[in-house]
Amino acid sequence: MRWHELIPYFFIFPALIIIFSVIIYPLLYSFSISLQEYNLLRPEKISFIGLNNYVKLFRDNLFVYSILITIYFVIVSVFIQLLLGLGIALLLNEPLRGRSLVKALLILPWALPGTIIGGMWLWIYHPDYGLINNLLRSINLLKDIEVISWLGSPLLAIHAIIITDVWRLSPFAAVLLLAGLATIPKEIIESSKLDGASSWQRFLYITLPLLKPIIILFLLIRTMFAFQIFDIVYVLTRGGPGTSTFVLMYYAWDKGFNQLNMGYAAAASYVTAIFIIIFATIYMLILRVPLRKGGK
Amino acid sequence: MSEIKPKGISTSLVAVAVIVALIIGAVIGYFAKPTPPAEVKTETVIKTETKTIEKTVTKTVVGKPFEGITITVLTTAPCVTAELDKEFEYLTGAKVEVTTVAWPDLHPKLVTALASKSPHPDVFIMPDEWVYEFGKAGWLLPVDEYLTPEEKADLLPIAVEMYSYEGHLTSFVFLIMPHIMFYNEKILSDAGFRPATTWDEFVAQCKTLQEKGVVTYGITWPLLSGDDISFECWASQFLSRGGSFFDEKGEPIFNNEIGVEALQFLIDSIYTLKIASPTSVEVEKMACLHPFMAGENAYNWNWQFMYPITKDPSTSKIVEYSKYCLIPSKPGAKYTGFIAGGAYSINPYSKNKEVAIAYAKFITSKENSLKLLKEKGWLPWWGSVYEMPEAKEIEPQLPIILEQLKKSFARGWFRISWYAEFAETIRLEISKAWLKEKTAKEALDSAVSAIKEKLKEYGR
Repeated sequence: MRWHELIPYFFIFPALIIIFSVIIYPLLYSFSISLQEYNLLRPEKISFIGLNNYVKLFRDNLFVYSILITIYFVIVSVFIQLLLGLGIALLLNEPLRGRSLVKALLILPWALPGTIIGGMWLWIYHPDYGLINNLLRSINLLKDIEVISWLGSPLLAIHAIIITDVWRLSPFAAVLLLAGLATIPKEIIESSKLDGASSWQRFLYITLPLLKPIIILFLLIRTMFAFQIFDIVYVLTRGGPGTSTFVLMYYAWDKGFNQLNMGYAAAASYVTAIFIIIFATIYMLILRVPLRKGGK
Repeated sequence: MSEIKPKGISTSLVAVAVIVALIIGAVIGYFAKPTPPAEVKTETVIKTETKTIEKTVTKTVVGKPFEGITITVLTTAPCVTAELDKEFEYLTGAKVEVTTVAWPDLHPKLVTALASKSPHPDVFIMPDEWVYEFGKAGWLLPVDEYLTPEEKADLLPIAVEMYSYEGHLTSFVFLIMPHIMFYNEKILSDAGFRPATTWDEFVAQCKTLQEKGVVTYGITWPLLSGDDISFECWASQFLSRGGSFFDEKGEPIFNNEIGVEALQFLIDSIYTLKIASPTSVEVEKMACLHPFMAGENAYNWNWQFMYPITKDPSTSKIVEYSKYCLIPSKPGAKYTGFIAGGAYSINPYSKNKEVAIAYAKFITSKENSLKLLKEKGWLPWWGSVYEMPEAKEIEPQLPIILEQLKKSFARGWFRISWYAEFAETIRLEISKAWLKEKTAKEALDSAVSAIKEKLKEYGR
C-alpha cells in the first residue's frame, strides 16, 4: 500500500476516534456494567454476576408490566400520530388560504422541550384549576366540586400521557408526510381524474402506496423514540399513580438514578434497546418491499 | 458584472473583519483581569452578637488568608447564598465556584464524585436523609472540632442529632424544617374553632366547615405516588398515632394495627369521610398547597419551608390568615412528623478543607442564619437565634415551630443507607391502597415483606 492510499484513513481517523469514544466505548462499558452487581451505594460489592441482572429483571413483575405498558403506549400513540398527521398533511396539501401560517404554527409543539410540554399539560389536566375540567364544568358535564382525576387514575393517566405525546408529535408526522405528498407527481393524479377515479380511490390506490416509504420511515423513527419516552412521564405522573405509568425508561431511570443500581438499570436499558431493534428490523423488512418494487 | 464583483468582495471582507474582531475581543475578554469588586464597608459584617464570630471575621478581613484559593461548591439553589458567597470572597480572598444541579441529579452526582474520591466539590449541599448513607461510606468529614464548646451548646439538639453519624457532627446546617400543619385562621375562627389537636377533632371540624359551605374540602393531602412526600404523609399519620417502624431487633413492624389505622385514615378521609380532596392522589407538596392558598381548604399538611409561599401575595389569597399549628396526634405520641434539613458538608477528599470549613461555617453563622430566616423563612440551627427579638419579629410563631420540632423524627434515625429505595418501596406499595388496588393491610404487608427482603440482601 502506498502512502497516499492511507490519506483517506488519516482523514476519517478523528471521526473514528469520536465515534469510538462517545458511542462504541459507552455501549461496551454499559453492557459490561449490566453483567455486574454494580450499585454505587455498595461499591464494596461490585462484582461480575453474568446474566443475573437480566434474569432478575424478567422475574420483576414491575419490569414485565413496564414492557407491556410501554408497548401499549408506543402502538397507540404512534398510530394516532400517524392518522392525525396524515389528515393534517392531506389538508395542508390543498390550496387553502393561510396554509403557510398553519404550517409554521404546526412546528411549534414539536419544537418545545418535553419538560415544558409536560408542565403545560400538567396544568391542563389539573383537577381543580385545569382547562379540561373547567370546560366540562362550563358545559355542565361536571358539577362544581366534581373532578375528573386525569392523572390520578391508572387508566386515565396513561391515556393522558398518550394525548400529550400525540399533541406534541402529530405535527412531526404531518410535516414528514406533507413532504412526501409534495413528491407525488401531479400528472398521475390528473390522469387518474381523467380516468374517472374518485377522491377516495385516488387516495387509496395512488397517494397511500406512494407515501408508503415515508409512512414506514415515520413509524421507524417514532417507534424508536416512543420507546424512550421519559420526560413527559417524569413531569406528568412520575410513574404514578402507583406504578401505572412506569414505562421502560422511567423504570431504568428509577433503578439507575434513584436507587443508584447501575448494573440493573443498564440491563433494563439493554432490554429496551433489544425491543427497539426488533421493531426497527420489522419496519426495515417492510420498507424493503416498496423499494424493490420501485426498482423493478 | 463589474458592479457585482466588488460588492461581493467588500461584503466578504466586512464579514471576515467582524468575525476576526469578535474572536480577538473574545480572547482579550477571556484573559483580561476581572474588575475588582467595589470595596465594601465591613462595619455591617462585623456587627454580631457572638464574640467568636466577630474575632474570626475581623481576622479574615485583615489577613485575606485564602487569597488565590478557589473552592468548589455543589448546590441545588445558588440564589440562596449568592450574596453571602460574594461576602465570603471579599472577606477571605477565596474564590467560590458554585455548580448548580437539579434536585434529582444531586444524589447521583455526589455519589459518583465521592465514590471516585474526587476532591471536588469541596463543599456540597447535604440533605439529612443521606447522612447515614454518606457517613457509613466515609464521605462526611466530622466537623465537631471546628465549633467551640459554647457554639455546640447553642445548637438545637435535634439539628445536631439529625446531622450526626456515630456521635460526630457531619455538617454545618443552614436550614431545618419539620412537617407541620398550616391552617386558615379566618376560616377556623369564624366557625368558632381553634386548631385541631387530635385527628378526630380535625375530622369533625372539616366536616362542619364543608357542610357550612365555607370550604370545598378540609384538606388536600400530597399523595402523589411518585414523590416521597406521599410516604412521609402516611408516616406522619403513623407516628402521630404512636407507631414505630422497627422493633428492638431492627425488624420492620409498620404493618401493625397502627400502620393500618394510619393508612386507612388517609383512604377514608378521601373516599368515606370525604374531608380530603379526591385530587390528593395526584398532587405533591406544591400542588396540594394551591387550594389552601385559594381559601378553599382549611388546613394543609406540609413541610415548614413551604409556608412562606402562603405569605406571598402573588400566589396566595390568604396571606393574612395562613398560620402554623401542631400536627394533630393521639395523646402520648412521641413524634408527629419528620424533620428535614439543608446543610453544607465537607468533602473528605477536598484539598482545601480549611477554606471549605470556613465557608460552610460562614454561611451557617448566627448572623447569616438570621438573614436566611428573614429573607427565606428558613429556620436556623442556633437555639439563641430563636430568642433574638429580630427573629421573633420576623416570625412571631417561632414557639409553635419549636414545639413541633420537639415532636419531629429524623429520617437518619432509620439507620438505613439505602433510604431512597426504602422510602420508594413503601410509597409505591401504600399508594396501591388509596388507588384501591389493595387493602391497607395488604399494601403494608407487601411493603414490610419487600423491606425485609431488601434488608436481608443489602443489610443496613
